Amino acid sequence: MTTMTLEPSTLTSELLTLINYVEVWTLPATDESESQSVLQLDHAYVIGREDVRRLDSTGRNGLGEGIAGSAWKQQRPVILQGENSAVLQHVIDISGLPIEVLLAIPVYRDYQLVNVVVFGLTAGCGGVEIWSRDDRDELAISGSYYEGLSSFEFISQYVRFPKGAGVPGACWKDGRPRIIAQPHAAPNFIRSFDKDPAQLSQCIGLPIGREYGFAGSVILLLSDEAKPLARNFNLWQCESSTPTEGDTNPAVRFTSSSLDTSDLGSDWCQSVCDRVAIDRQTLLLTSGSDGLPVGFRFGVVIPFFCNESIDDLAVLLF
Amino acid sequence: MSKNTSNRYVEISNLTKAYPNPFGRDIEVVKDFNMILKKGEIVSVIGHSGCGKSTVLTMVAGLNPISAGELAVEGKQISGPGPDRSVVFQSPCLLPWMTTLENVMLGVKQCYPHGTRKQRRQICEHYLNLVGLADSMHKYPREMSGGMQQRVGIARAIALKPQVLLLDEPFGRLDSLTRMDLQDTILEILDREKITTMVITHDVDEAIYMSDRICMMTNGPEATVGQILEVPFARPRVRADVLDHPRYYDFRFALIAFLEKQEHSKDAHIQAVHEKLQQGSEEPVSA
Repeated sequence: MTTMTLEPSTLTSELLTLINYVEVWTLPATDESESQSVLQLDHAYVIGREDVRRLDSTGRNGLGEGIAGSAWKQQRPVILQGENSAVLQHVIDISGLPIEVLLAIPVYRDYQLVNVVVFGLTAGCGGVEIWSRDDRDELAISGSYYEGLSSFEFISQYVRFPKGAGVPGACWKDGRPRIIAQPHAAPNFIRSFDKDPAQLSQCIGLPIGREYGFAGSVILLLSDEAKPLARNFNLWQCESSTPTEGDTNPAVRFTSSSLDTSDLGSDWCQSVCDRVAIDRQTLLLTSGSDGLPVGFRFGVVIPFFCNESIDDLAVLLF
Repeated sequence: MSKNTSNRYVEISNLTKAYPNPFGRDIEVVKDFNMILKKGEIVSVIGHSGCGKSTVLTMVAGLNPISAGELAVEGKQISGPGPDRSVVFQSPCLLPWMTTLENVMLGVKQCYPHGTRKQRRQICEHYLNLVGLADSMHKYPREMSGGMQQRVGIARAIALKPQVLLLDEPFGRLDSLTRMDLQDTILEILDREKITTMVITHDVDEAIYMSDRICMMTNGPEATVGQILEVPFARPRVRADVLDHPRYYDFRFALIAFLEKQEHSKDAHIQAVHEKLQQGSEEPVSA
């Protein structure tokens, strides 16, 4: 286990991005029943200003255990915050970072859990919202974290989105992630901001499927220009049908749906697509062996499946 | 559509209204409107003029055929107007040759065909009394003010004991004092009778004061639900308490900001719908 080498109090303003900690948990394919399976922690990385460190952490979470096991059990994203959380305190201890909140995102393929990606966020203007279906088939906030958005936080707890309404309802309707730039001015970002508008620069909506059908959980990530979620957040949309598992030549092509990827290089983008098409699960990219575009040190690629096909990729670069 | 439960008393699912367009595809003035009302709930629908609020209400009333989608009250599909749904329009449209009592009696006769004359009269008198017209039962419309005529319209609608009350800008033609008085009258009745109610209004203060939920509609064409706001103030409501609530202006700001954003994006929205019609795209214009 990596020892604490950084002083948390001095780091907050120096960190470049809101996301500074990443864990990837994997549910191994097994013939055993679900109750006998356990999530395994494959990777844990700390993203500091100067370096990216891989931690030697290992872990196993059963159904409902820890934040990853909770996301697995609840079949939706989970937010964890607060001083009394032993899980959060553990992450603060091992990362050496002033992590404010943990967000666990379940990744499903053909309605079966494949991974749980856990992000640790440090302080910065923005928010994380989990919108889940209620008894009226509307999306309501089931978990949230905000900083610097007090009026927005207050009013959002009373807002509901039917299918197709607002950014969460749009993600629910078509099952696809989307990026909304400058949401305070975007016509499709419907909620009002504070009376003194916080100039949030980015809103990212991620629909989350669950086992045996789409759950209607949607994550909304909000950040400002001073401290974005990641240094580069791309959504790539599948251009053609994805080959089936085992295909030796997966000629998968994706187009960026929201942001210009020209600076990333089309060859690099294609190589990432090909790897995800083969691995068919969350992919971590490190500067050592994986190759990253110039200027980036770390990357996370989360696939969004429709049944067995990959529809979209969320690509976060740090 | 799910079975009848009090939690899904009125179900509006993918409701769409389209009108023929001689130059191309039909124009959908309302598209994929989704909303569920619980039993006894009061829901306001707000939006800019012409966005399709009244179109939604008339479809729920069964007065305007739907182009697509589903509408159900207590699990039963709506196929036309019926006594389970009463409407109060902006103008009360009273029959001028009938007295107040006779105007109310007209609908009561249809809904209580097996009641005695005395029973029907008692029903009319009861509801006219509730709206404060006990002393004006034998007046003709020309002898009454606009506010009094609207009270008759309300009594006429509620006397039918509807399952759903539909109010289409019922206070739109009244002065502010009369409007507030009539709002309180209706709230008193609804608190007592627990009638599921949809109110169309332009007035954000009226929407907050009267409603359990406020449905904000986007601009047309292809108008739909933008978002729904739950109003957490307890019932019965006292106007002064609502206005003094420390969070009242947060709700008010949310509604006004929504309407302003719709206003600012109106031209771009119309342009986008126009281009979509030309391209024949099925994609929704607004998220």
